[in-house]
Amino acid sequence: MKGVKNMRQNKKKILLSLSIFLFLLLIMAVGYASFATQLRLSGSAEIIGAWDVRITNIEVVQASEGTNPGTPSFTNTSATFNAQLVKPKDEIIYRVTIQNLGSINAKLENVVFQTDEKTGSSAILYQTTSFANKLKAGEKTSFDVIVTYDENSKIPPTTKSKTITGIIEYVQE
Amino acid sequence: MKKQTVILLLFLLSTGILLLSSSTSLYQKIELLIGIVFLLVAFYYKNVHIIRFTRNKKDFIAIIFLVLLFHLSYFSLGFFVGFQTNPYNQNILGIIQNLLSSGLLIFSTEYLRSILIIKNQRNKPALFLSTLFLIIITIPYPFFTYSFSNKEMFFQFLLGTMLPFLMNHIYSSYLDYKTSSCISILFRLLEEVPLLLFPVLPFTNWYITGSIHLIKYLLLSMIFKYHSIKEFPFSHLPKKNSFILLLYAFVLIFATIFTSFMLGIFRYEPLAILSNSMYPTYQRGDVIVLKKLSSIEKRQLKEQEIIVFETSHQLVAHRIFKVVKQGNDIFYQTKGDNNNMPDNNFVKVQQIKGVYCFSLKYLGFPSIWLHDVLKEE
Repeated sequence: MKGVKNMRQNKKKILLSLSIFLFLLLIMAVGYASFATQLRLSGSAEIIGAWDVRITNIEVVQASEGTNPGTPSFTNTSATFNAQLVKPKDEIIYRVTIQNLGSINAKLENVVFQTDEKTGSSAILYQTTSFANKLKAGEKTSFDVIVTYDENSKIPPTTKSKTITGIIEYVQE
Repeated sequence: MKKQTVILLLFLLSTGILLLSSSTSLYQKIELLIGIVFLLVAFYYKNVHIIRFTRNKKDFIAIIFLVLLFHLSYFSLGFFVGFQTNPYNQNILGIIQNLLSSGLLIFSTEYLRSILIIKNQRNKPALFLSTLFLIIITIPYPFFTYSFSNKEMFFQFLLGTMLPFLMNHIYSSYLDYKTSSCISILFRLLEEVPLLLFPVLPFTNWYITGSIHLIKYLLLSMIFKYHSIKEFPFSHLPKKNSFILLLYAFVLIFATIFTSFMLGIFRYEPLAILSNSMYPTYQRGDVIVLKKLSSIEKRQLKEQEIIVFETSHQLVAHRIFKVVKQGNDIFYQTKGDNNNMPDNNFVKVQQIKGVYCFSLKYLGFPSIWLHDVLKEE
């Protein structure tokens, strides 16, 4: 009887040690996989998407008297406006809304705004506000593009236009 | 002159030379000083029998077989993962210094272990406490100098360095308890000395180191479990015992194949998916199995096939959208099924790792959770 009991205890110990062994092996494999396979998060280079982060609105939130903000438009991946400013200190603010209409959480990977400083008018100034770094499914965020006629610009500019190009890259979180 | 005194004098002479040597590193000096302390403590119990020699030849054969198998597997790994120059000094004097240094430390540690086990009359809780004591005293120095701010590095240190270190101590105590101190000294010497002598070592990472040590200790446990049954061959064993051995063998084979599979030693390799860019083909949390391709096969891929390729910092598994040929060069434009636009950069043949075979649902979630936790600021 004692021998049988010992054998049972022995068997239990062995099973326990084998379980611990397999558990440790599994933990290591899980860790290895998590470091070795950082699969991408593939989004695209612009505000888009099928997966599905997109521009859902652009509106004029403020315009100085006498200015013409035009009718801004947008597609899923781009927003366009044409601001006409008349005199120094004139200002128009456009608000662009980006929404995550997909089922996947997104995170902001990259934001670059560039203006054509070389060929564009030095009297036109652009400012942009910041927006959400993370965009969970269904959430939306907005940012403002502020266009200003430089109040220090006293000589009428020879070039009267200036473009701004923004690349906003969201990727799957 | 008593045998103990001769041993002590030889030990002190060797360590003295090493301590005075300018080429001995600070860590080695600390280790040697610890060795001296161990030996002095051991000699305090001078009435105990110093080194217990086993009379059972099977113990020696078993331990030699095990260590040989370990080294054979370890060095064979180099043919799959590559070799690197041995970081230990390979000059004659350097080798002698390293051998003396590690030999003395092993000897003093195992000697003290043996004394503790005998002194405590082979009592199991005392065995546990003795092992714990030796673990604390000989804890690897990187443990104190390591930067643990990076969770990922900490995890790797824990499993790649600390786990083998702990297992080493546990099994040395186990061997000492089950057989004799002589066997535990032999085991550690045979295990560590070749690593100091070979000019090249396999180019291992924390996962290989951790896994191979785990498997080695399982094998050790199996051999000595079998050995304790003292019945040979398998066919003569009672059914219950042969079941245990078969279970051991099964787990061992499974562990070896599983680890090799994870390491990508076979033609097929698993990958955990972190993104939903290929939904619905597979999604975040799935594991895909890819088949490695030859250079010729990489040039013969067609549109709609899913390839796994390396970018500067990650692996991507996307579908071929377009094949572009420019003279002799072939480029692949890829796209995630769930993306509305193709990927920005064309994939070169050299970037391709393999082609998608099949996916396993949800198996990758533990890796993803761990990845998220370890990457958290």
